[in-house]
Amino acid sequence: MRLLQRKNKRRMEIKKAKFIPVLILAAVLLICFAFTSKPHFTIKVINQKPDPWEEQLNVLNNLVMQTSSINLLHGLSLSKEQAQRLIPLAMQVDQLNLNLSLNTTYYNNELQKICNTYKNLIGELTQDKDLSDTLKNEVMRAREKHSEIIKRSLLATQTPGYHADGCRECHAAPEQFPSGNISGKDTRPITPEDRKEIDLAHVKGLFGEEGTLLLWNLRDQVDEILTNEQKYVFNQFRCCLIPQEDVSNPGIFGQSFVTNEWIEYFRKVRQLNDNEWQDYKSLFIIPLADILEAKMPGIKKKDKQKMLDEAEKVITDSRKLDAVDFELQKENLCVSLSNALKTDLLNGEANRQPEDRKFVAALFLLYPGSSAFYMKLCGQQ
Amino acid sequence: MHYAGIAALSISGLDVFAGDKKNIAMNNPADIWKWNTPAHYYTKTEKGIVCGLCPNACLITLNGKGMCRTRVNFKNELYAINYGNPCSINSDPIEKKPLYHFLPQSTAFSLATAGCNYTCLNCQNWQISQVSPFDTQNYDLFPKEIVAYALKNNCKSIAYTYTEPVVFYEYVYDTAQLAHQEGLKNLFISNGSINEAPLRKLCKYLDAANINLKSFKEDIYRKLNGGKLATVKKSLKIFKEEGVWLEITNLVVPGWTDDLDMIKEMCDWLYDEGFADCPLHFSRFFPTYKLTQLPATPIDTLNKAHDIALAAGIRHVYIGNVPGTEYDDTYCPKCKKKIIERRGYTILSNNIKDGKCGFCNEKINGVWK
Repeated sequence: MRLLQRKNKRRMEIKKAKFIPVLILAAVLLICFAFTSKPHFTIKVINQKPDPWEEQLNVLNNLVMQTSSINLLHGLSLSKEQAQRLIPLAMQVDQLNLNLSLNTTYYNNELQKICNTYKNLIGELTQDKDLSDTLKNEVMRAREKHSEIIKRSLLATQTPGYHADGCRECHAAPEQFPSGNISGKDTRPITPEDRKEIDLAHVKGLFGEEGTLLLWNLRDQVDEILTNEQKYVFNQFRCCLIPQEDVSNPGIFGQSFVTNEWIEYFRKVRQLNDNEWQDYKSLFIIPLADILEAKMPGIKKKDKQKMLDEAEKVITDSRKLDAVDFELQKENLCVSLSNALKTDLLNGEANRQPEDRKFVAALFLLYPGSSAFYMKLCGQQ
Repeated sequence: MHYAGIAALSISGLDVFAGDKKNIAMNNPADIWKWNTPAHYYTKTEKGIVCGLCPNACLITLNGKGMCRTRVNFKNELYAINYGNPCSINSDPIEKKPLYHFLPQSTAFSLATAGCNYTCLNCQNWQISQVSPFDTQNYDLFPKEIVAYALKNNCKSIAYTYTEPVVFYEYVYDTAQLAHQEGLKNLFISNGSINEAPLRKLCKYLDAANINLKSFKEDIYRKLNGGKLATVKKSLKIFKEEGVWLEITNLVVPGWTDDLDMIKEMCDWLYDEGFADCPLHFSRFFPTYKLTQLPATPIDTLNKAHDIALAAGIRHVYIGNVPGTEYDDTYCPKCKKKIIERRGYTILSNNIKDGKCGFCNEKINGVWK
């Protein structure tokens, strides 16, 4: 009887939740990958066995989300008391027994390589190890490849006559991918409203209806545990593979930009004389284009060019500074370059509303496996 | 003479100024180091030169160096070989020093030369502090250029920081004088291990200091830092007497300086000696240098230290190196309301008006404009 009541209550809550356009921003990153897909509302129930391509998409999503959650937990400076209060909430999510299988049959070798790189990354991050440059480079390559695959999957759905359900509605399977160079091809435009639906769909793809609702219902309890300063983090938190190393502001979490690596980038740019710069400029700009495409597979050609032009201006300005002025301005230059390449305004992620922020906090702080982190934290302290 | 070869190897491709090179070079032996200046405080003895700058009182024999690696006995005279040769320069938010009650949200031209008079096992900057100027890539940057660049880059102050500014004392002294002439403030971010006479002389040109009070037990100071607590306590008093705005940092290192009774003893001493209005920053340790086997400081330990300090009567207590802490903000000691809200090095809101709490009019000590 109690179970029945609970089920009825949940059904009502689900119904209610459907009208709350909140869960929105949640998926944050997955978002990026789905940017230009048109919204779909058919969500797979987790207990149903997904088709291999859907399973592959979910495995990739899960790896990115898990990595982001680990980076967040390591960076958020939670106290033992906070960890103790989060444990029972995280265990509720664990008890959903989500099928986030990492031992899937890989759709092809390329996807297996990407997943293996992400798994290696998670292994290192879980042990709180410093990441080697080699691994960082592998992750960057994997992410570029990952983004390219997502873009091809989006473009394939624009083929006349294409029709599919579930994840395939927006992400066609590899056998349907367009061949050749796709960098000049635009994907279908979406609106900020589409964005919210897409984000929610990606969360539901991993957590199912029940899991998504549970996160939604736990959001206030998670919010109560956090300090105002920690809550602030979730206004802007973006998924991230490499933990943030922001030299200008340690309060920034998520996708990092202003790192020592970028300062080195500027140093290399400055080493070239004017002739060399004209000859080799493209070698420095192309990686920026790759980053933009990785962050936002569906970025429009026009938008991308505008951002690259702005970035080139910042880089060119950096070459005009003398050695001392450069040292004094290097972090500002990184901030300017970061702003030039910011996609938040384009993809609708810029302004997160309070309820969205709470949901995003619940999503990442209660991500499956986080209870183990909290228990370890309590043991250590 | 053996310095000449090393010096030649060490000259980087970063020479950017002609500046005062000629004058400096004319005053100094050419084969000791490319730029240097006679040291300010030392005594000649039969056994060698005794440096009088800091309590280490190094006896430096002919061609030898002090423990700080920056003072050289050349022909029985003592030279500071780091003069005009910073190895690190940056434009930093003043909150990074940390100085929370001094010209908030302003920018400081921050510089360091190689060398230090301590040997902290947990040094964050050991690559530049535990080596000599021979081993680092250095800029040629003399006091008047520093001031010019600071002004050009809209810095309100010059911060002598990162390593230990006591060991580039002459460079600090000359730069600080020029800075004051141009309306710039001088910030001294130091371990406070300096003798009284040089400190009092320098204080005439210092506006603010953050002193790292590393622990409150002599034996820990000796083992962890290679320093002396008594000297630092004395320096704190001198800074206060000389009217230098003072903030204090205490790094809480697990197993070394995290004893809460010791922290209480330190806070009680600070209160009793009149430092209740000096902001106290408890800083989180992260594994580094020779203490990589230790964990980072638990947040709860820092929170407890914070509470102990407040209970002892310290009016402004902060926790540093902890993104997400609520103790990064400034609270009015009277009405307890948040008057400065910080995120990282950025200030989101500042409700201090004319040096007083915007809510209850309580005076908030600091240099706000």
